[in-house]
Amino acid sequence: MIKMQRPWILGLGAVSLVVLGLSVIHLLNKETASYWPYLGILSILGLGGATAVAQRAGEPVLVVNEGSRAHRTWQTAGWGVFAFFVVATPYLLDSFRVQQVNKSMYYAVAVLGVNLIIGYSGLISLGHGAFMGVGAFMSVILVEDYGFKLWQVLFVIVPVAFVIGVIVGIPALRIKGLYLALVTFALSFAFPIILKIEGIDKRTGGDLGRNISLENQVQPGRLKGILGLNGLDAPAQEQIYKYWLMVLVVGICFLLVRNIIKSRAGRAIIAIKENQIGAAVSGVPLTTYKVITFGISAVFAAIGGWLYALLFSEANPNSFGPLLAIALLLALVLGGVYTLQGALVGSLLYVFLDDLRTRVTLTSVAGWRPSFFQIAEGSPLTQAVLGLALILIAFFAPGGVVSLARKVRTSLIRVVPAIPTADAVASSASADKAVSEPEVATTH
Amino acid sequence: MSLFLQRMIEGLSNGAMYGVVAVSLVIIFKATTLINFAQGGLAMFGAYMANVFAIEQGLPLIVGILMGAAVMAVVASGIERVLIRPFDPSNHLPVVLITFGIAYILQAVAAWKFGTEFKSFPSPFPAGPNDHIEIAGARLRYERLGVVLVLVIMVGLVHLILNKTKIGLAFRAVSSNTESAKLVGVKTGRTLNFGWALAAMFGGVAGGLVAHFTQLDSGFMDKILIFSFAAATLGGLDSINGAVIGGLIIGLVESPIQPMVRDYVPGFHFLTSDLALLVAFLLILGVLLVKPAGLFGTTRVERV
Repeated sequence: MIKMQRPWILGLGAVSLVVLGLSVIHLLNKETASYWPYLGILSILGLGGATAVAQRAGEPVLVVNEGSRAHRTWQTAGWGVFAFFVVATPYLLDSFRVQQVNKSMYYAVAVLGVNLIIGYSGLISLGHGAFMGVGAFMSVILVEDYGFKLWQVLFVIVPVAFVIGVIVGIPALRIKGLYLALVTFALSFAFPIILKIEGIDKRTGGDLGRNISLENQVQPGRLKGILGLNGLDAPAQEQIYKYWLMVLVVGICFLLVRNIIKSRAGRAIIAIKENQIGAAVSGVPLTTYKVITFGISAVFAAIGGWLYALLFSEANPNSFGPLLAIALLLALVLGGVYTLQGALVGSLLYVFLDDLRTRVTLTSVAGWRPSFFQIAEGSPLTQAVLGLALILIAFFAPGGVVSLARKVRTSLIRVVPAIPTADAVASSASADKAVSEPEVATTH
Repeated sequence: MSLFLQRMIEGLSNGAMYGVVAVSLVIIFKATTLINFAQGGLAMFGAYMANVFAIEQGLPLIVGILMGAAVMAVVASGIERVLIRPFDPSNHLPVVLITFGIAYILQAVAAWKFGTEFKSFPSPFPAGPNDHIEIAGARLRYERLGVVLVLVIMVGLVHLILNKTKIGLAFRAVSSNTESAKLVGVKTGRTLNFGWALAAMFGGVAGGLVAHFTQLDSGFMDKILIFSFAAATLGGLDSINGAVIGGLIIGLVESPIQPMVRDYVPGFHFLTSDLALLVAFLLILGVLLVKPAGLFGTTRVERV
């Protein structure tokens, strides 16, 4: 069943979405001194307006049944558009932009780890920049000093980062709440200093950091033809090749985290966050799960660091200090705490916002120049944009951009959940039995 | 020996600065059980305001510092009213985000309005080459002793305010039990607002004192803030005396140990100020592992 009323609202939403996408692309192409930023703001207002009207009316514009043909068509189309963007992005943007996308992908993996801790188990950690540093430095050191290939390093990083995460996680059992936030924040201050201690600095390169030498860096080899790299200049080849490697790793990491969250362990972790006593009473071993979550989240942060080493072929102690920890937090909340997609969306947003703020100036946006707002390009005041983003998010989108987008979508389009038929329930119950889950009720 | 004594005094005065900022953190924690990551930014801004009043407008320095602190008190109470009060304090994440955001904005505005170059800042106490007393060969400089004096005065003041005034009584009621305080007619919002203003005033004065030793720039309070976090954590986040003692401990440990480690332990000879951060980190980690609520903090009852 498809029911549609006031289709103009849906039209307004769709037009706003298209304009928003176009203005983002124009902003990326450095056309900052034009009317595009205004159109972008206008389109956001349009989306908001459409949502408000639909919410006021009390019913969504479009109602579809879950699993109906229309619903499946739309879903397939959605995935198609997503796949199109994944494939097309590196070939549409110039290599500098592709590098930024790559940057947001290593952020995304680390933010996944942070999300496991902050979002899913409710402990505030500001120390995950240090775990990223562990990954990046182990990559550089193992490749340069011990003759590993970069991909082999991954098999060393994962267990080591897990052990380090568990070791850091054990104090977290005793140190609660904001005390933990403070201690982990102090850890991210201490980490670069530890790397610079003499003796250790022989391996880490001290203040200067270390590079992966040219012959050990990742080069696009036989895959050049398949990826369509022939004929492109060297930086573009390098960035696009790294883009595909990163898409592969990021994809695997997202699948892993999704499965962790949906598994028995994931439900236990969330139960601990929601109600610690209730979880304990239900037989969840609190200590084990908390420590293991810390270990797993450290592993993802370290894989993020490994991707960092892959992308930049270097590691510097000063890059893994408190600023990185705050950046990870910012990316997480921009995208959405407690949502899976939030890690990627937030990282993309953070990287581009951070870049945009150094280029866009109020005078160039305005054209109209009140004297107070004359802010030169690259002025330190642009730093305030990040602060403003944090405050606005806390106020208006506590679930981040992802939950905001979900809110807009659900107020415009409602998917009526399919009522499971007796057969479907029975077969899903037997499937559950096969993996030795507790039996669910078979009657509805 | 004289060198050691001199370093102890330096450590004590550093510790006093950490202590003043730590007390301001504790006041806010007591009121709202949250940690104000913007406290460093507020103190930094206060020091810049003092710079404007005292150096550019030519007022006496002490008046300038106090006026800067007063301006920051007004700013902080505005921040509390507009940005903090709408949130449920038991949900930590949004408030952490907001205070980080305020810190970013304050730093950006300061760098934009006052420039990014380092500015020297005078001490409110005599700081000439001969302004010191000698005890057992150690030179105790007035500018250093003065900081300790300020700490004593400020802590005395805060105890007076909390224990002898009506709003202090209300503040203690709110920090001990917000719900009950509300029921007996305490205006909790106004009281918390007062707490923020008081804390910002503390921060502003601390900023004016620290600026002389570090020079003025938009990030000069960052390191101090970390030590103050360490001090407040060490003493227990809800104990004012604990914060003072924590600050002094951090200062004392940092100052004499740092040159000793640098000179005698191989591997550390080039680490100067950074080493102190490491020491502070290990200290709070160690203390929290033994006493999760800090040395003088209230222990919470855990059921699981």
